[in-house]
Amino acid sequence: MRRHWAFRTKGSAMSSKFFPARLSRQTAVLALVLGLGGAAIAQSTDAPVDAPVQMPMEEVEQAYTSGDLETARNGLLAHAEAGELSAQYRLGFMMANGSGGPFDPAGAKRWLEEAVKQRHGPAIVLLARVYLSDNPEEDDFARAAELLSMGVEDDIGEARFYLAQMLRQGRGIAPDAARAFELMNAAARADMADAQFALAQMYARGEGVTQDEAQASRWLFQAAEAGQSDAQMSLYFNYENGNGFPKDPVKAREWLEIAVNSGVPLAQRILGTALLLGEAEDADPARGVGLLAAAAEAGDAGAQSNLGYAYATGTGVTQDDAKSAEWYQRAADQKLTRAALVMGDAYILGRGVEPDIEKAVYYLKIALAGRSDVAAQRLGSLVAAGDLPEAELGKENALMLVAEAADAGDPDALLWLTESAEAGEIYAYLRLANLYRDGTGVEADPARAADYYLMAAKEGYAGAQAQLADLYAAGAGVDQDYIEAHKWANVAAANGHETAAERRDLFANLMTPEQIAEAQARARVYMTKN
Amino acid sequence: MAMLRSLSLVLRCLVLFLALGVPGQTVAQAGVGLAALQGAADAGDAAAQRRLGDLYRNGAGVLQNYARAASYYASAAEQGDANAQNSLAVLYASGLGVDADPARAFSLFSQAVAAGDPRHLHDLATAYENGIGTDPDPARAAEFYARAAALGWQDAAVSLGVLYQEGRGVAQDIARAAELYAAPANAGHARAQNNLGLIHVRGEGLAQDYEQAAKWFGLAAEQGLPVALNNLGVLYQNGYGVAQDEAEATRLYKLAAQLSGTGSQDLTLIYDPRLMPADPEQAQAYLTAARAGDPLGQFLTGYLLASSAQSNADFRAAARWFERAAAQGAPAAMANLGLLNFEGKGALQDFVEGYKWLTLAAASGLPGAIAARDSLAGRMTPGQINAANQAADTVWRALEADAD
Repeated sequence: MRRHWAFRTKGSAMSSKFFPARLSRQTAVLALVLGLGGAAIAQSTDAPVDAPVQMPMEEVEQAYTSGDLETARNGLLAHAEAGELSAQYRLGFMMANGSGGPFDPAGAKRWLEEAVKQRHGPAIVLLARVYLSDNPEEDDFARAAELLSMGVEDDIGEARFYLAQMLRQGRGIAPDAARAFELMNAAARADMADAQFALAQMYARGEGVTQDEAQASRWLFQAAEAGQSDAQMSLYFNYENGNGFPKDPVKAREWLEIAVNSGVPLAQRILGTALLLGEAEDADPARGVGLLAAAAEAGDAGAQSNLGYAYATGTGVTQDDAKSAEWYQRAADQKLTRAALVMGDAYILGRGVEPDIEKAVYYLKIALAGRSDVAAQRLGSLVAAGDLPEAELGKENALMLVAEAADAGDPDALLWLTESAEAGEIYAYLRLANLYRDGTGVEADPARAADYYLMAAKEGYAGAQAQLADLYAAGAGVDQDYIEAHKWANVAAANGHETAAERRDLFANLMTPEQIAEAQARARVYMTKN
Repeated sequence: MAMLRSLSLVLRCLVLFLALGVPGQTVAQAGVGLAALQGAADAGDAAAQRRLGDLYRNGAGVLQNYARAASYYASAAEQGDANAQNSLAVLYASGLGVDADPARAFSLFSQAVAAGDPRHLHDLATAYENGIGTDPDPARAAEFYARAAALGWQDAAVSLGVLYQEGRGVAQDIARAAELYAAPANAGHARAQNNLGLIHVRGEGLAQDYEQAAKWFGLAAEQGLPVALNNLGVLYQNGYGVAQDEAEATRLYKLAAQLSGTGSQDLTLIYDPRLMPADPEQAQAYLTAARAGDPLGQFLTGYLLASSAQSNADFRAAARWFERAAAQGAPAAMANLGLLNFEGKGALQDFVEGYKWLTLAAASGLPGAIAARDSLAGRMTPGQINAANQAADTVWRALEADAD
């Protein structure tokens, strides 16, 4: 399915009910009865100038069964325009799912509205779901609620579930937890697994009903046993973490296996990773790789990344850098930070791919957006080594990244940063000052730190002025001097530093009025000059 | 807007009042026109010279100027005016308005006592006690304190009491000290109360009695004497003579630190009682007027910003509006700008600048400004005060020139 519904639900629930032969025969009869009316509708709407060639319904069915969805969809159009209720619904469905042609919500709405006029049950529910998909607005919510209310009147089980979800959410209809519970309860008792899972949630949270853990648990099990995969995963997590139940790794594992069998990619990834890394008692790297591959093929980024790891390390598979890079890259393309970092390194080192600095930078930037410190260091090292032009990042970003690399001990980065400082970059002074003060990536050198703070302080940077004040007060890297400490704290406070004034007043308590007078005079001279 | 206009009018009157400068000022305390006083002083009237000295020293309604005060005192002192001799001695002792000259101060203190004023006897005693322009001589100090005390000067009795308590210049005699403290303490003299409390704590000469000590420290503390606040804090911290109360002890220590000018200072803004109260609902109207250059709008905008300031940034904005209003001669803006300079909130901490602006505000007679200036002076060196006097004079002349 190309678009997500507003609620979490299974696309398969809809398609499994599609095109039962019996239904199509019934609706064919219905279409015959309503034939005249249908023709009238076709004329009154925007019928194409060249009326589509009527393909006999049998041929449409044949095309559908043989998998030629395009022909089926084209064939349905003429029947729909002829007013055949079943054809209208089926065409709407194909348009809503983008099967046999482009995803076409407007077209789907048009044909489903036609079918709804005749209170076609499945069309009512499907049309509501179309309205709720793809960034619905207030009007869409309202229309969906109207449709679903109609569906509930007509005793359609699914309509109860969806209307209950809307009442819980309170969009397009006034929220009403009690009514939502009533509808959800009815849908759950009619064996709708999604409703059973939702009902379990409502009991657990006391939503529209008195909170009842026993009922919540009962419905959760019922939904899970009916194959509802969210419920299965919930049971897995509950047993695994001892959440609501006593911790029970054996039962957790059982439910995880069940979810794996239901084809839940998350379950496949979790179990696959456990088997691969030998965390589970019965470590089984080969099966682990199989599960990860299934989840990876289904598009699960975590599984793709872990499969990349399996190939990189030769765990459960023959070691293969190229295949590793292939899977890591698919995960990285989904913006998975750790995979993006691996791909950055892969393109720098030429591991499993041709070396390509541009691509390395592309992936490292993705990792950086995911707040990876290592990515910042790598990018900084690339800048310092001249592999990445600083113009591409902007001066400020380049400085920040190179400073990270220098922090990590990259000598090129330290040199680059020092040269930037010599060229008058205040930010470089500050980072170098911190570096030499804390001894990160270099030997600690308080005197040098003080020099850099002084340079930044003289450029008017309040943070450096406040730092310098503390260095003078403590005599760290400079001769202890309360007058200078007071002066710089005073200047920093006047430049907007929020805590420097407190430091200044603290120093003042240790000074004579003459020292304070001298400190203030020096601060005044400094401020006048700058 | 109508209200704002009328407020502006009030302020313009104030600005005009200020801009008329020294000759236009009348001096309430003197009860005499400044011009008349000036005339008499120029004609050689010693009393007029001394009163002008007092006016320029006090700087309430005129621009404070210790140098000018010293010069008038010197003229009167030469003619034998004892009050002028004593006041000039104080200036030479501290270096306010003149270069500090302890020897000259001692000589003037000595000349002044000839007239027998107990205050002058006390001051000479202080010079002997502390060795100002002479070797420290506690025995001589005790002698002069005793003479002043005999004339009913309580400060002298208390200082004499201290010498007896500590046995300096006289044989130690705690009972005598307690006796000397008793009358001033009962009359509400803070230093006497504190010292009496200390005798009760130590149980020297009197029975040790923490409750009595707490009573006397409490009375002195109520008058804001920092040392008494600290002493009372110690009693609360240990539960001596009062119920033990750490929180109260902490509060008292903090207050003591604030009043003695150490520790972080709370900022009490100064408002001009001649204006209608600042109305936060009118903030937008004030701002509009402020932007249009109206000094009252600028002051009110700064005042609202500073009085609800959440951060240094708010104080900086307030300081900028006060600066603009002060440059147009608005006294309340000057006063608050001075306070911000003093506390280094939103501006560089600079006592000289702070004292300058408070001096200028005090020259317009703004009561809060006079009190704030005099209490903050304790944190400054005489050199800073002299520099501030000069700086204020420069601004004053510039404002006068603008008004012409």
